[in-house]
Amino acid sequence: MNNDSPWTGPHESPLDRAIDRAVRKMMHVDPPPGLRRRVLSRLEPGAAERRLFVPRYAWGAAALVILIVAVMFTRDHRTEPVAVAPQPSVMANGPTPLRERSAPPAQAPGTRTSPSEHSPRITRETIPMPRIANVFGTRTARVSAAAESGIEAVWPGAENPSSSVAPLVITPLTPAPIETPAIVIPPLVIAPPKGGL
Amino acid sequence: MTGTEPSATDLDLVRLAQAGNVEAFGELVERNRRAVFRAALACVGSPAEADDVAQEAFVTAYRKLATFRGDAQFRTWLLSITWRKAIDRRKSISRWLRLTVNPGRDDSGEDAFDQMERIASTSRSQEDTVVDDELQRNVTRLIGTLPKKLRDALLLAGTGEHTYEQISQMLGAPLGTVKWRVSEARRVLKKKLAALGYAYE
Repeated sequence: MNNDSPWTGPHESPLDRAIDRAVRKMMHVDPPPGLRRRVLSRLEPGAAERRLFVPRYAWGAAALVILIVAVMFTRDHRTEPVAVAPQPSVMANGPTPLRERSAPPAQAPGTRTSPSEHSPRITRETIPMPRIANVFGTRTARVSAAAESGIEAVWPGAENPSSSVAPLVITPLTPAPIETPAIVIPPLVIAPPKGGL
Repeated sequence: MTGTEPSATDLDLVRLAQAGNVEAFGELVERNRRAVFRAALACVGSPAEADDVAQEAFVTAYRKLATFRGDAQFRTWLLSITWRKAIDRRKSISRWLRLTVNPGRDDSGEDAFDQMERIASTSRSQEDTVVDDELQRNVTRLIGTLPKKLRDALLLAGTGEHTYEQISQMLGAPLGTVKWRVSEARRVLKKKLAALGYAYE
């Protein structure tokens, strides 16, 4: 007991002494041994975690830097597509088979293009251009499909543009009612045992 | 002990610990372990819980050691941390007991401290049967029925480790109020004992 506390004062009453004894019994308990060791052991792991935190963070940062450098390296060394010279699309006499329109030449990245740059006149070379005939022929009401053999496929009814297509009639569905056959349960017949009850 | 002398004051040890000397803090733990443990015990009522609270209080004090400037005594500062930790623990235990052991307060007026006393007293029940008489058991039981403010002051004053100033700091109450609470707790106990048939004088 400390001197500042009146607890140590003489209490004349036996009840006072009983209270003193009870409180002393409740409170005069020493801590379990090893408190210092347990406290210090809880302090050391914290310090160890702080020490480990820096290398762990450094590894993550290093991995991120490597990833960024790798992405930049691959972007700088990406191979550029080879430019393809333009080719005349249609050669010419009469109705000749259609050919695929060639793709425009690939351009180097960053160069600006204008429609006139695709013209062969831009080039200084003199390229003899073939005479381009009307590959589609005279315009008719017929719809034809081009073929290698030059045979035209004719859409039926295309010759007469005034002909009309019959309107599509949708008949409403009439769902048939579901008929379930009646379940007939035969009456349960319990046969008496052979030997009787 | 490395780096600390037995004659070093608490403040010297605090300065060493603030500089990173863990052994100096270990010496502070050794010097204050009983005061911290008993303060926690007065609050939570169970030695096992008090040991946990004491550990948490020391660890928290170590982490907050940089904020200690030496304006007050280290023990007073440490006991304030301990009391806050103990109050938090008591609240969580009371909540747990309300949910598990006793959903809803019973008619006997018991609270979590009474139930903790019963749970903790199982370890020393054999000793109780030998040493304690009926009066002692009744006093112990009646202490558990006191209001928390009176009970905390009474038990802290009875630890033998804390001055009234330290108790005042821990409870956040004026010194006169703490003294009154201790006196009032004794008066209520004696009145209840008299009601049980014990002589008041």
